[in-house]
Amino acid sequence: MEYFSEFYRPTPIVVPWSGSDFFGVRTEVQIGKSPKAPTSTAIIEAFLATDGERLADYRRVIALTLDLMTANGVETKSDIEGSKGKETKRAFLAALRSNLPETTVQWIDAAALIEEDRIAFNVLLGSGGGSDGNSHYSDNFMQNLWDCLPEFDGQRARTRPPRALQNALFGLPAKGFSDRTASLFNSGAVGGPNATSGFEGDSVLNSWDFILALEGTLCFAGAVARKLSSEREGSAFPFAVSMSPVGYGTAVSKESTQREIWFPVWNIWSAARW
Amino acid sequence: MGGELEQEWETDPEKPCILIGTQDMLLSRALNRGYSIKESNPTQLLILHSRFRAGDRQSTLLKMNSQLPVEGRILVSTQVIEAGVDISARTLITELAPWSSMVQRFGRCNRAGEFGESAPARVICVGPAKPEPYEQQELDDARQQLNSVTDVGISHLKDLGPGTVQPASHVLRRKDLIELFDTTPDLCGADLDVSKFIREKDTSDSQVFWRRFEDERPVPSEPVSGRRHSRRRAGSRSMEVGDIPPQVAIR
Repeated sequence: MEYFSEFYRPTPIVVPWSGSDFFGVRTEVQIGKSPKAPTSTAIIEAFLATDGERLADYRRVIALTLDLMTANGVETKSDIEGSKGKETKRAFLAALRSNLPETTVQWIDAAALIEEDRIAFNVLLGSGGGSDGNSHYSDNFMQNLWDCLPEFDGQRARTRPPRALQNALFGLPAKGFSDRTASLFNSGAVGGPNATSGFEGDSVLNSWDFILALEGTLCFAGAVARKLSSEREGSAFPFAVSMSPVGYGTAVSKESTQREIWFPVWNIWSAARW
Repeated sequence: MGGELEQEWETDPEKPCILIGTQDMLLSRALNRGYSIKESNPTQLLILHSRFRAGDRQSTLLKMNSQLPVEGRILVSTQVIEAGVDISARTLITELAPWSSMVQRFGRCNRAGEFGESAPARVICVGPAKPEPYEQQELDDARQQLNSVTDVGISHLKDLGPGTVQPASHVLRRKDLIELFDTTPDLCGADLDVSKFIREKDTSDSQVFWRRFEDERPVPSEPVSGRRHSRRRAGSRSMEVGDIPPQVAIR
């Protein structure tokens, strides 16, 4: 408990290759108090405005990312969109992977891999490599940190949700969760008709659940792999499989399917170290 | 070069001059240019390309930085002097290259601002007949950048954009090294692809040195290997291999 509330240093998770959050970020902004977590560009500015030691890595990664955008000619969203921006996006991603600190490299590899002529995304983290439709995981991750960390007490016009960490770690009851959504990571809590005892329910999210989930995805970082010196390289993410509609790959040559992930179920504690 | 420029060349021999001819793969073009200059000019001619061995390269660079002969000096080089070489010339003649390379090449001209108003430094750019090994688009973009400026001094270049997007380049990270001993990413056992970290994979030159022995092994009186030469081991004895002239480049 003490570790998470006092010492835990969040992995600097950024997704500047998708969405528009990183365009037009102002590096020195006076942040006022707000009851709700800022979104998009504003949450990045909120992070830059902190001065706590444990967010120092995060601030550094954001600043480096902004520098790398300039250095790689990524000035507007359109620069990395469509077929015209394809190569720029690939080069930009490679520059991020080459220059950002090791912890963020782990994140980049969990979200996206740079193949010889394209970028491959891990289905675990949405269709856009850390984003899924309008859900932008770095944006969500930062918002949830904003909710939970004492570094943002000065920006938050309300108290931190009480007992949220106990709920996330030990399943103890708690209240005061946010109405944001963890989308695919918790599809039972996205709200909508029949979501609760009334006609409709709001989405509900324990911020710590989302933070820990995203930190956990770093274990599923992939790598570009090659089998038996074949010409074609392929992206490999742990437990991710390419489905074949009829059971074996050579039966259908033209049909393509989405990747799926089949996780083994762990029922004991496990430790990770890297 | 031709017409007006040729006349100027005759009347105002450049001292010193660098001519970055072309790309390594079209090395013969640069060498031909170099030797044709040699025939018609009394100037000191130096040639440099990536297949120089370190010692020869160093000696050429030392000559380039030595006292300028009265007749002037011309260095014909490939893009090997684009970066990391501290030499300066008054005139730079270069083939068109991607913009980032052009900016690097400009840095070999009037490096310390030593050529002033009376004899200003100049950059002359010529278009290559074929774009290889670059992409035509990269050269078109560079040409466009070049046409938008009249002065390629650093102060004039800083406001220009980066030109064409450079292809993605990859840096080996700690994680990549550790993963060589880790099967987590691909549980099916495929090998990690390291090809993106390998540079110069299209250059397959290698050098072979040899010498003849009367017996199967060198006799003890054979000269031992020295610092200047490559070292090979034959059994427990070392032998010198660098002093035998035959050497071949295998492609």
